[in-house]
Amino acid sequence: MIVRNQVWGLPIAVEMTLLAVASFAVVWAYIFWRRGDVKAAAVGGALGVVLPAAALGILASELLKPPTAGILVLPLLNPHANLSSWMVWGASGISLLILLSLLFTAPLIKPFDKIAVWGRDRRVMNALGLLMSAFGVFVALYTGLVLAYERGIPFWHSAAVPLLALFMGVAAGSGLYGLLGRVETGKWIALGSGLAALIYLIHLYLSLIGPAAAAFSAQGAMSDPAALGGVALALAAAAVAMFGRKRPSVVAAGALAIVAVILIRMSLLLWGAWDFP
Amino acid sequence: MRPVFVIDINKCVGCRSCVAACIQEHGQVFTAAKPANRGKPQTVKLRTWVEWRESEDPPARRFMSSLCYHCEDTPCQRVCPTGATYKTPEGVVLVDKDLCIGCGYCIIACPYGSRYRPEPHEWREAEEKPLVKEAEAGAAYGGVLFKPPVPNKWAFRVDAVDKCTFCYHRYKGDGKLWTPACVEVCPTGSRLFGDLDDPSDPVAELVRSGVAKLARPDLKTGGRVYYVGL
Repeated sequence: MIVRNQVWGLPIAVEMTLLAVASFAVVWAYIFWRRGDVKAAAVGGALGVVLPAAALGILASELLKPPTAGILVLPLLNPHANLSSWMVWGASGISLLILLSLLFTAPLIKPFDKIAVWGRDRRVMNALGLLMSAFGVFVALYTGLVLAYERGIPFWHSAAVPLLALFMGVAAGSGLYGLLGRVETGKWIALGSGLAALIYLIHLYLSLIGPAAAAFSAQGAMSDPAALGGVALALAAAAVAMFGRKRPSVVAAGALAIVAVILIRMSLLLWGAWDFP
Repeated sequence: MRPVFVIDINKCVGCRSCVAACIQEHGQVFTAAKPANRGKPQTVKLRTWVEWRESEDPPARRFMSSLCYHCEDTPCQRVCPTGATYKTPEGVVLVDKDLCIGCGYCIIACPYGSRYRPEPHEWREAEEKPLVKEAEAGAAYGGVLFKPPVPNKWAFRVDAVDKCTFCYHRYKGDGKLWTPACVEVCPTGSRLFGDLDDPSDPVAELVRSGVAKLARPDLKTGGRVYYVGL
């Protein structure tokens, strides 16, 4: 008996997309800071605080016990935390990403730079930026690992899913800076979107020839406008970013990449299915 | 003691007395359930369910009971972020309702559809048409059997993931096997409960002799629910 996933739905797709955008926005923030572009760095750093916090908020609203949502903040410190659960590591990573982004960004914003005195030491900022970027990459990977870890849903239980999540992070984070008109992100939008589309297509094909539930998911996703639109938009984003090097092209590619990431994530989540005995 | 559950599909007549007994024992909200001929605890939102499987050639109807398989290798326990899912020394998998935050990760991980989440909107809808009202209406015709759930810390709660407990609250902690509510009421003896550690237990013998089999041995989770005639 094949049953489609209705446990983790649209809110979780939105939550994971926010995390994807934040994950590589913080990497770009560090790169811009290294280049001396403090304003651009502050934007990515601030998004590294706001978007993961919003993602945790969405996750909290989906719980059956919203008052216990505090448990999602650094759950590693909770004495009951189950360390074999990816959710514990993921939520801890998200919490640390918020904290590190806050520490990195505060010295870059005018009213706070007098309080955030650590910003005057370049070595400290370098360390914060590096750690923030590392946690950004981890958070992008986590949004795939959390799905791929267990065998319950065969469509998700694949090594392709964390890879897909990583490249969706590259596409969405770079796409955000593309939207802001930063042309240097163009080739990364192309790379992230192109590889995300390619990996998703390969994943769909492999699922088609896989277990019954995975084949059901792949068939469903392939007839769903969300998946087809997501792949088409990701390929379009890659093409526009690769061949149009000017600002309007990068802005368009950025927008296309972010929409593509939302659609691919939606189809991946909503077409997950079990094959119950 | 290692309790084991055996379901003889050949004896099941699909009366669903087991489902009714479970609902009464644990205070599940029947009006929030989604009964369907094909379904699992996850989809019907009850701890146990009996689905009807029909075949055309030859025309036949079989009844397949499902509940938590109490796996040896427990995916639900592995993914639970708060440690709410745990295993008793007897191997019964339970949910600490106070620790469960209702994230649903265990439902995602369970390959058998044995867990369900009481969605808040469904709960509100259920509250608007309480079972008690139905009982009152039935009073004119001699009354409807309705008793409050047996108080226990694994009973149904709207703010936590729910699943079969093998009626663990009936265990007195004395090392003696108990009888789950569904086994107690099964009119045909299709549902059986035994102790794998008792060499003279006829139910455990069905497992030891290979007559009773796991539903999905390919998933390699092991389990304490076996089927005869699957």
